[in-house]
Amino acid sequence: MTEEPASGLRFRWKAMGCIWELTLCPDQPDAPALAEAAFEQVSLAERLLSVFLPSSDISRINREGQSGPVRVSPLTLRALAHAFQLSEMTGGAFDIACGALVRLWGFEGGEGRKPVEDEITQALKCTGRHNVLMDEAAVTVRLVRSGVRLNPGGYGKGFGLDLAMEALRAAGVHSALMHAGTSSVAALGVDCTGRPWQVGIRIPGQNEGHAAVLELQDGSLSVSGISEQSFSDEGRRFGHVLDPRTGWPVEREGWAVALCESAAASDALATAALVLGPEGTERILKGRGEARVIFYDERGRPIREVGGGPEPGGSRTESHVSE
Amino acid sequence: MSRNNLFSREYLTRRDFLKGSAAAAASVAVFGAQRAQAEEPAQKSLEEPIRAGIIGTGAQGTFLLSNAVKVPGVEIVACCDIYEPHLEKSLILAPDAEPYQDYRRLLDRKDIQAVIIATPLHLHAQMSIDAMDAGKHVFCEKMMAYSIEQAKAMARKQRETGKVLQLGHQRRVNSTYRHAYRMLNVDKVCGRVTQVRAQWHRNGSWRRAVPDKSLEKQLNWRLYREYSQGLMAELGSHQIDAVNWFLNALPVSVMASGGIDYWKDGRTVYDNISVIYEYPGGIRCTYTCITTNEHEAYYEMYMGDEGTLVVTPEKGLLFREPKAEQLVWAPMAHKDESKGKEAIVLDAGATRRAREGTGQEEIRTDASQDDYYVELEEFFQSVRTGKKPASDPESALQSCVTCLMANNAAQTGRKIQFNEKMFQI
Ligand SMILES: NC(=O)c1ccc[n+]([C@@H]2O[C@H](COP(=O)([O-])OP(=O)(O)OC[C@H]3O[C@@H](n4cnc5c(N)ncnc54)[C@H](O)[C@@H]3O)[C@@H](O)[C@H]2O)c1
Repeated sequence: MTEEPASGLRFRWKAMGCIWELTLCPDQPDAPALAEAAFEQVSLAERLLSVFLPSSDISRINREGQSGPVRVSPLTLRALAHAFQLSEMTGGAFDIACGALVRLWGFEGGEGRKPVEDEITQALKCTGRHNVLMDEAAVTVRLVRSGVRLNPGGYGKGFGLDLAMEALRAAGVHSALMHAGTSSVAALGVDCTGRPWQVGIRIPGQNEGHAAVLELQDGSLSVSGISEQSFSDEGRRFGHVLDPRTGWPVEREGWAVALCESAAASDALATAALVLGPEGTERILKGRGEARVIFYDERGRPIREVGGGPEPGGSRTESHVSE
Repeated sequence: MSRNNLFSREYLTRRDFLKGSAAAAASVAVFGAQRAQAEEPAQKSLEEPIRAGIIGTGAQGTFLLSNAVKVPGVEIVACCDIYEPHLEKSLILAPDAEPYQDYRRLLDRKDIQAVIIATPLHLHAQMSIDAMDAGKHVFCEKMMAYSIEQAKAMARKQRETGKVLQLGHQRRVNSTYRHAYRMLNVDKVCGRVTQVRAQWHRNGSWRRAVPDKSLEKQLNWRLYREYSQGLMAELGSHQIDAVNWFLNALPVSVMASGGIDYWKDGRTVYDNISVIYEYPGGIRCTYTCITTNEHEAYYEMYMGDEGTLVVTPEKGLLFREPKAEQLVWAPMAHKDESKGKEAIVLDAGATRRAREGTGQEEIRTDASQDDYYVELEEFFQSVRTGKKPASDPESALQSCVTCLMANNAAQTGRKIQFNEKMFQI
């Protein structure tokens, strides 16, 4: 996914293992300072949630959470509560308490490998939000059994975007676009010409042009797909998106684009949508007017759009296939 | 819908978000029961919690606060800031704290034993002294104070009251720094140190966004001389503190040159400065701090006749000079023949990896805790035990004097000789 080239001021930052970019309008006063403030929030999100920083709250929970309650930042507790509510809503199709599976399948920074059935059964016992206990009063988190690991992969970048957008909005910014490693993007207001921000979705393997251009206004968009980062075993191809309910990678090919106000939520929803497929996703979004998901096949052709009920909420989209 | 709207950003700001969370509520019940069984003895042995407050909840205050709330046995019961948006943000991180706009009202509270101060430089001394007078232990951000006299007054107040006064030079607790210190001074991996080069290079205006022109000086205090001592205080003091520490010495003279040469935006502190310190025994330290190029960002480099040690909070690197002998104490030394150079793998409680074929060694120590967490944990430990913290008033005064004299040298264009009296409390 990339943004369309827009005439704006661009700021770049490296965090959570990817490049972040913020676009502000050329006439935005104090633009560099605002960019710094936004990235400070991203850095806060990373310090709280990254599994690659040994000092983050998540790493500490994963390391020490089985032996007792781990004190965390109240902001971490908010993020976890939000993520777990999203798991509940998606019937477990999205679940950050899936680190044991991610590790088992070698997706924690590794190449990927196919485990044996027994190992999957074992890891499944350590998967799911019921393995995580939060004490709101003491601001602690505890894991109920050893082997449980949190992996906020499908949530953390969105969380960083949410914090950054909230900071920009509080500073009086009316127009901004920020993306995290091109997998999630969040918009404040409209672009510098007064139109909704244009976000291009590029499908890997299709280098020319974009598969679709979506419009975004006061909302977020996340892309999840399978054709990148996959490995083969005896003719079967396994993608890096795991179904936390079965312990197996999703074999469906293609892409899901989720849209709603919160980037953390769109991040989670895009993952859940791949797991659930169009019908399942439509079911969970019923009656929740805010969010929508567009499905694309592996060649980038739109298949179906679900959700986005009578109250479209913050985000507005229009899609078309472009060359 | 009465339930939380999961698709909006309200989960970040809504006061009752957690309360509305079925996930949290359900777990609390289970958790409560388990804890009562399993941990009763541990609960009893817990000492009385330390009640603490924070003054100044801007950028750094927020980072400190997010760590302070994690230190076991500590309750953050009060937050103070004169700027409403910052005060509000702090209450998300410390939801049970009482908000204050006047720090003296916070200091009036008899139940508060300790305060964290993260306000602009010119306020450090007054606030720390008032806090110690009110019987509080103090963690105050670096640089110690705006002037040498103020820093000395703080140190004297600490001696008079016997309270803990810790300064925010977190490199003093950083595990890589502690390890590198031992390698340089005990293992003498560089042989005889003859030169030091250090820098903090950034590429940016160093400005904060200002929602309203009238707030310019309040929010961008670090750009104006009446509140700030500029780059040497804000960035240099961390590194100069480390150099004094690593060399076990104080400089004998300083020359410097600086200016406002790029960011001509009304600021009154330098946007770049170059400094030469002379330490005893002819060791020279060159230090530069600039805002127009970030190549190689920040480090301190110790150069000796047998090796070079480059230190940053994230990692340390050792390069042995070609003529230097192999380090006999290296427990697991091995040769990498590929380029005819020697790569040394060392392991002494830290993970150190050789970069293959480069004759270069990497130090990575236990990074399982954020330095800000470690320094605050140390602070509250000192409050309990009376033990002196690593960043104590004496060393902080020394780095404060070392930095302010560089500014002075740049402003007057003179070479300045240090004398003992300057560093005396
Ligand atoms: N150790 C480190 O790595 C590190 C990093 C950054 C900053 N700092 C230090 O932290 C301190 C604060 O820096 P910052 O970047 O957070 O600045 P900041 O401007 O973001 O925060 C300072 C806060 O103090 C508040 N304040 C000002 N006057 C006050 C008063 N009279 N009473 C109560 N609150 C008041 C301001 O409103 C602001 O919220 C400085 O001394 C700085 O050198 C240390």
